[in-house]
Amino acid sequence: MATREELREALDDYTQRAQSNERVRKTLKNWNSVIHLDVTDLGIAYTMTIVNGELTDIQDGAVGTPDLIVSGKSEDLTNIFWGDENPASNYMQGAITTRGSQEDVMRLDAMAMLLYLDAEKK
Amino acid sequence: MATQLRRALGLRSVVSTSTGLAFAAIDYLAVASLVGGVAGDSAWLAVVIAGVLLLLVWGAFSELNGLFPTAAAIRLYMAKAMDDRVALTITFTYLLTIVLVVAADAYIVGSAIAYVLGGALWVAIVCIVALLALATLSNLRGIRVAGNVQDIATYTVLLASAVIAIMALARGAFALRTPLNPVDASHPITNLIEAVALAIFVYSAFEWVTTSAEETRSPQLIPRGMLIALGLLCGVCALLTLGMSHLLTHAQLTTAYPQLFLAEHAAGSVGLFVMLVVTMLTAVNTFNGAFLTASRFMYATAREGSLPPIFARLNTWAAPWAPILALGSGSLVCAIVVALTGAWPVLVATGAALEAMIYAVAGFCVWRLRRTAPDQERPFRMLLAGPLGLLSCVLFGALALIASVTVGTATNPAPLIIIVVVGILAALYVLLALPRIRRAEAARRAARGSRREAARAAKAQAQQGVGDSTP
Repeated sequence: MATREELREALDDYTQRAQSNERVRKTLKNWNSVIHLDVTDLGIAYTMTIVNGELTDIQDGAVGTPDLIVSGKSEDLTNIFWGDENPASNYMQGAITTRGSQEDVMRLDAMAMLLYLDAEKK
Repeated sequence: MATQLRRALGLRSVVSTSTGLAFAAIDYLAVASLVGGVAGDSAWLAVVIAGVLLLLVWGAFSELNGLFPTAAAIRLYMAKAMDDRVALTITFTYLLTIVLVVAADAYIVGSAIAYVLGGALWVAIVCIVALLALATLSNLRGIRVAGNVQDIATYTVLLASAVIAIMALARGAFALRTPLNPVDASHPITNLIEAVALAIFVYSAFEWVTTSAEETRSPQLIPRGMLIALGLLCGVCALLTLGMSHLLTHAQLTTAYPQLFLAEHAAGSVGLFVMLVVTMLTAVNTFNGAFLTASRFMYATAREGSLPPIFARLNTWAAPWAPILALGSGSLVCAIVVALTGAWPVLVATGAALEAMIYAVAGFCVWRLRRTAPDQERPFRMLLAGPLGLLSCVLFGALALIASVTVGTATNPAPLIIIVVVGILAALYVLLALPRIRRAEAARRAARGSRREAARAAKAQAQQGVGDSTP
């Protein structure tokens, strides 16, 4: 189980990588979404806000009405946001669950994939 | 977390999605192909019997949907109930159904347009190419039919089909020939069993709505919606069967557009044009639903590492272009082969066999998971899941076998050969190519190392540096 601080660190790193990635913004340019992250074992939540394909910030708590809710354990989510685990594998194995449109799920996964591929090139 | 989503599907959309995915243009042909083998006007009984049997499938998918309310459910319950390689082989073989349904719809709509325009085969082929190109391009551009439009299209198709069937029957003063005696001296009971096996196809894909479980207001809407959809499909298809068996000639029943003749009987040339529009509307639902469901599933499977990485690439409209192109080109080849050979009954039989196969698998999974995961929470529990799950497996397995060797009213192994060839190709891919893809991905990840560990080490080093410099 990851700690709250470890997860926050992973989210901050993810936000910074997403904001500086031109490819993510280009591919997801028309995507607007409010995503709640539900950390089941810590009993906490975060809110990711995406405007025109740009991840603006990740706030503490469940803020606003979400388009998508992603639920999972802190360890899995931390590894996913660091880019160490494949979110699609976790999803296909039932380790993380979602509520919301499949299009939002695919775009969120695509964001993680693009960040992963770019990190690999560097 | 009990938070409500900004946009979520209600019961009306769940019913329309389930019905719309099942009610493709090929259903008209499937219904027409039931008529020949059964005595008098009683082919509708095959539709009703198949509908009753599908209650077993409804129970199985409702339980599996409750266990795994996700678009990836088919991967999850099959992987947990059987060896993953077997599960993947079955899943990839089953994807053929989607290609067949899209191809069939393009062929039927193309043929119907060509018939109304008085055109020849080449007109139909041009229409098929244009329809599939349009569907592929709009999917590549990420354009999808809005939920409300899909609801309207589905309910219009169902209502128009039912009204036309009733009007056609009214023209014949409802004077039906032996509507309750499917078996006589020239129509043995085996013909009725074959008709029931083929009638499964008119319901096929009603269960695909389970892939929308994450988008609904409440997961309980899925079982309710599927049950209503089964009832609607049963009612409309039974009416169409009655109308076609009573009014159409053998020559009309064996064309690619029997529904147009039925509509002509009901309301003359106005009926013909209305039915042409209705047939085109069915394609909107099929192309939208099938392309979307299949391409997203292939994308997720590729991201998981079970298909080559190219299937997980997105274009600038955030659409997975490789799965869309694969589906579009596969359907195009299939549709043109059918247009040139007129072998659409083979499509119906292959689709029916594949659907019955996946229904048998669902029954097996329910039975198996009740034994291996008895304590897992089940919001929907299938009644007598143990015996009925096994019964469903055996029953639909047998119907799959019957459908795979029955084309129209004749015995023909072509569907079985197609399924076996695709199954062998899928198995070869899973056994030979997939391990290499997975090894390559594992090696890439290992070479990259853990960013989390690297960050942790960097932090520890920084803290040690601070500690060392502290007097």
